[in-house]
Amino acid sequence: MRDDFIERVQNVFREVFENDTLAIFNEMQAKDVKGWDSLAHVNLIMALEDSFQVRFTTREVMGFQNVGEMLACLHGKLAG
Amino acid sequence: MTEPPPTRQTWELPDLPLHRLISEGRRVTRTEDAGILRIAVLGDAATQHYCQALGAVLKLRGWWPELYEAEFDTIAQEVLDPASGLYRSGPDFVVLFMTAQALWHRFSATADKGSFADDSLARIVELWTQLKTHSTATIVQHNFVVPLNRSHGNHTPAIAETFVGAVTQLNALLVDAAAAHGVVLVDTEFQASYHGKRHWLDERLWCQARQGLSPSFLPSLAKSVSDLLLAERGVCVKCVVVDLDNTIWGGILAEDGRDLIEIGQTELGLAFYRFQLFLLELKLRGVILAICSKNNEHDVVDMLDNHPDMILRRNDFAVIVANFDDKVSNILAIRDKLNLGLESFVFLDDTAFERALVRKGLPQVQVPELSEDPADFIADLARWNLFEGRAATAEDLARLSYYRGEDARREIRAKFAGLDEFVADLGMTAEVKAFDGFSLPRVLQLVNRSNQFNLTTIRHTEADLQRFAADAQCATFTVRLADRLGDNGIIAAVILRKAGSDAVVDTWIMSCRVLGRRVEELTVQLIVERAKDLGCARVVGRYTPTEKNALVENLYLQHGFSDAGVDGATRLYCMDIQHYSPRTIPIAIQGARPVTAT
Repeated sequence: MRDDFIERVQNVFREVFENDTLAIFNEMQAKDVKGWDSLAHVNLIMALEDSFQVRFTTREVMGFQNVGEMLACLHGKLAG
Repeated sequence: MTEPPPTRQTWELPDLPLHRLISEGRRVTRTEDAGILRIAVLGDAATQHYCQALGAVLKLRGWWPELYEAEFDTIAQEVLDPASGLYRSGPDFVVLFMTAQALWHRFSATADKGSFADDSLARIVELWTQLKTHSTATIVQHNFVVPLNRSHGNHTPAIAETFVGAVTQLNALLVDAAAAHGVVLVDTEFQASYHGKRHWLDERLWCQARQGLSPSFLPSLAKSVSDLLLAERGVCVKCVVVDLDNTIWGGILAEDGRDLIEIGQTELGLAFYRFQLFLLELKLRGVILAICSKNNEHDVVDMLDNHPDMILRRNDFAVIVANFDDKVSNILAIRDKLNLGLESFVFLDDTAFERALVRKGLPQVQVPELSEDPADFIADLARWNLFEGRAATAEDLARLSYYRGEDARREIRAKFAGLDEFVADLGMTAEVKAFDGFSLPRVLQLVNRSNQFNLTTIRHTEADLQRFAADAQCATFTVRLADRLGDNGIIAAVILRKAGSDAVVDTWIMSCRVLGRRVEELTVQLIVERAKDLGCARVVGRYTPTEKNALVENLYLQHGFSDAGVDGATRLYCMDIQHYSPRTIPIAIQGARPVTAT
């Protein structure tokens, strides 16, 4: 995974959670980020879909355990 | 985080991403004059995002919402219990956000599907009746998005026992019932159709989180709900001020002339024709139409009265302002004539400069960004939902005939004070070049068509222009003007002839669209520079009056020339080059000066 890809994802996180210094990492979970509730989660998914022009399936969204899994899933869609 | 949000015009809100809308709404601080709106939102789908979006839209529109959000899917409980949180919140508005997705669960459990629409209507009307018993709030009811369940293919909507048939029927019944009960309807079905149901109905999110629509479209839906609420508070658009050239017809009247204007049954002409039909619909429902155009009033009236394909005629406009002054002061003149608040104005103009100027000078006026293609104008207006309102009242229509025949402003209004600063901040650059193969067609067009900003109105042929360009005793140049809002193309053409120690301005033509942007001053400076290059000591300007060019009658006098008698019908003006004092003009010149004889 290239740095510029991770940086693009991180910028989406920063905009959605309104935190300009937020740094994402693979093990990061909702409890690690201020304001990451179920509402913000939907916003995050929508923002990622808009920004990368992809669509997550219901099963994919339900399966994300941490940011790393989200990144891997997104990266897989872009590569394919 | 405490930084205030950017100032938004209302038409921008539907297109904001949801998270940005919510974030900007959160940053609005309460002001004393913000009107309070107590709104209760009850839904059979999730309402958290809905409430956040609606709250943000209202705050960004200068109101202060106090929202009561009922628990998920508790509409009947809240409405039927006189002691419920709903009634304790003392709402001004009760929003019933009902969705077809929730309705489907009911439908599938119903045995008598043929009467489902009637039964559902009865259930909804009963809720309204109960609400009215316990509250004076205005009831705001969402209609239903006709879903994608196509059990009978193309026959589906015709079959009452299908869910699509039932929802279609229920929407129709709701229209009459709402009118009878004084309930206002949110046309959710339209919103979904506009954006495309395949995108609007995000069934993944219904399954995961009971989202009735993709949250991406909540800014659009919430903006449209806010229009309904605020219309009840008297907020609405009453007047549409339109530009003419390339806004309601194709082409530039002052340059192309009436016969070349595109309006009618073909291609671009048809796009403008259809847009005029839509503006006429607005007028028939009581919206006032006015014209604010950089044009000669006489030409405009001629076009409105005599062009065979125009839909809109002189009497369709309450006020016609056609002159070359800045549009801020012209819109203020229209406001004075109509005596309406600026918040009730929309200004439609294809030119980025004019839009930006009016937004800066009159931020209360809605100035949307029209699509580049005029064929898209009608859909643009639908997306912004600018025209919330009921049918025209008798007074609306009477007011219109009262204005009719009012002509352009009589009194001279002071120029907009912020104009110079605005123009200076545009970052204008001028590309100045001698006539060449690329510019000749445009120069020829200007020479043949321009009537108003045309000092001598000599219709040179293409061969003439090529001769001037090649002649060492002549200097030619075009000015191409660009700024941060866009490229205006070649907007001026000048031809100088050397006659002894004089440089005679044979031709000076400029597009009227860029009047007031100090291009005239720049052109004088360029003329003086070229005259020097020709080895001249004096510039001689010529003005030959025609029926159409009174606009530039005093141009030379205004730019430091003095009277030098006449040559037949032509008035002469002169300036000694050594007496020319350059001014500071906020236009950067690009492109090398042509190399001239040493």
